[in-house]
Formats: sequence, structure tokens, C-alpha cells
Amino acid sequence: MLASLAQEPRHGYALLTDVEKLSEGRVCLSTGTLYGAIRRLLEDGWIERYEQEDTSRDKQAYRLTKTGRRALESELVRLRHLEQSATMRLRQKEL
Amino acid sequence: MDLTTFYRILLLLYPKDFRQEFSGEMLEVFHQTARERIVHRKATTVQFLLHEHFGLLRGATEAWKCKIIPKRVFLVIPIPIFGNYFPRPTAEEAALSVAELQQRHDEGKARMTQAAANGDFVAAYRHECEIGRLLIFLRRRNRSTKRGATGAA
Repeated sequence: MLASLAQEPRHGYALLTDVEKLSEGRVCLSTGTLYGAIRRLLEDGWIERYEQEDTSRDKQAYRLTKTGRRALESELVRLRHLEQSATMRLRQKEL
Repeated sequence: MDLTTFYRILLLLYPKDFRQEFSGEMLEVFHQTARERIVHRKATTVQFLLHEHFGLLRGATEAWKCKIIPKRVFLVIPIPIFGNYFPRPTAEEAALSVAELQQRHDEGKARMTQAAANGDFVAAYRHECEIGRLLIFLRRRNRSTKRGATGAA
């Protein structure tokens, strides 16, 4: 969800479809799961409501905060480290 | 009973504050998803409904859990048998005055805040450990100064 919001602010439905697209269909969120996660991210201050001119009450957009961006970046660094060490171990095994 | 009514009924399982905040949006997203999934035949109606309603039940359970247990609470009990509880100052640290130790402690605190703000949580943790050590030395010094003062009195 953070990766999806990194590009631009999105509302619930756009977020749902983009997560599915990003994961190549492996992650298919239900509305219950989606809004549970949105609430947690709002509470942690990783995302915030984004006021658009044409925003109706039932079509609220969300965007990433600075804290959320940093969290996403540190998660990416962690994944990169994991990928590097896994690759190294695989190569050692092959040698 | 149509799909929306059933969905509305299931939304009642959520805590009131959650419902007030998100139910309108959830219903809107449900409508859009239903339109897309069922009309464009991405999934069968039964598959879609099972997925949505199980998700709703799981979400409601999670929302109640968050309401009952609002924040994670960690209880830390220091156990004196571990060596880290009695850190020893280096020769350089032992030679420092209380004011100098205090200055190092404050500098460490500033570095920790800066590292956390930059998102470098590993460095922030390292600085936190360091200021924890310095705080123990400061307390020991203060205690021994007090004892000395009491003895002199």
C-alpha cells in the first residue's frame, strides 16, 4: 500500500486495484482488510487524508507522509540487504 | 435482501467510531469492486461475496482488537545478572567530569533524534544504547557525590 501511494495520492478503490496490479494478482484485498490497514497507517502517521476539490465524503484520497516515505525506504533497504545476502549464499553454495 | 443491505448489516459488526469514519467509503469501494468483478466476470458472484464478507468479518475482529488493546505495551524488567546492566566506563570516560559526561549524553541524544528523523533506525538504536550507558555512569557519579556529601556532613 505504501508503494502504491508513493507514486500519487489514491482513494480506496484505486488503492485496491493498484495493490493487485503491483503484486501481479497475488494480493487481492477485500474492503474490510483494506480499511483496517488504512486505519492503522493513519494512526501511525504513515499516510494522511488528501483533500481534493472534487472529493466527496465517500471518496476520500490518501497520500504518503514523510514518515511513511522513510518507512518505505528503510523497508526497501532491508529487502535489498536480504536479497544480496541470499544471492551471496546461493553463489557460495554453487562454488 | 440485496447485496448492499447485507453488506450494510455486516458493517454493524465494526465498532461505532470505525463505522462513522469509514463505512461510507467502504460501501462506495464495495459498489465499485462489485461492479467491476461481477460485470466484467473477473470472479464469480459467490467467490467475490465470500472474499468480501470474510474480509469484513476479519476486519471487524481486528478493529475490535485494536479498540480493546489500543497500543502495544512492552514491560521491560532489567535483570541484574546480565553484564550489560553493570556497564564499565572506559578509561577515557572514567576521567571525564560530571559536566562532560552530561554533555556527551546530550550530544548522543541529539544524534539519536537526528538518526531517527533520517530513518536510520539502526544508528538511532546504537546512539540510544550509548546514552543509556552514559546515563548509568552519571547516576553512579551523582550517587557517590551524594554519599560523599552525607559522609562529610
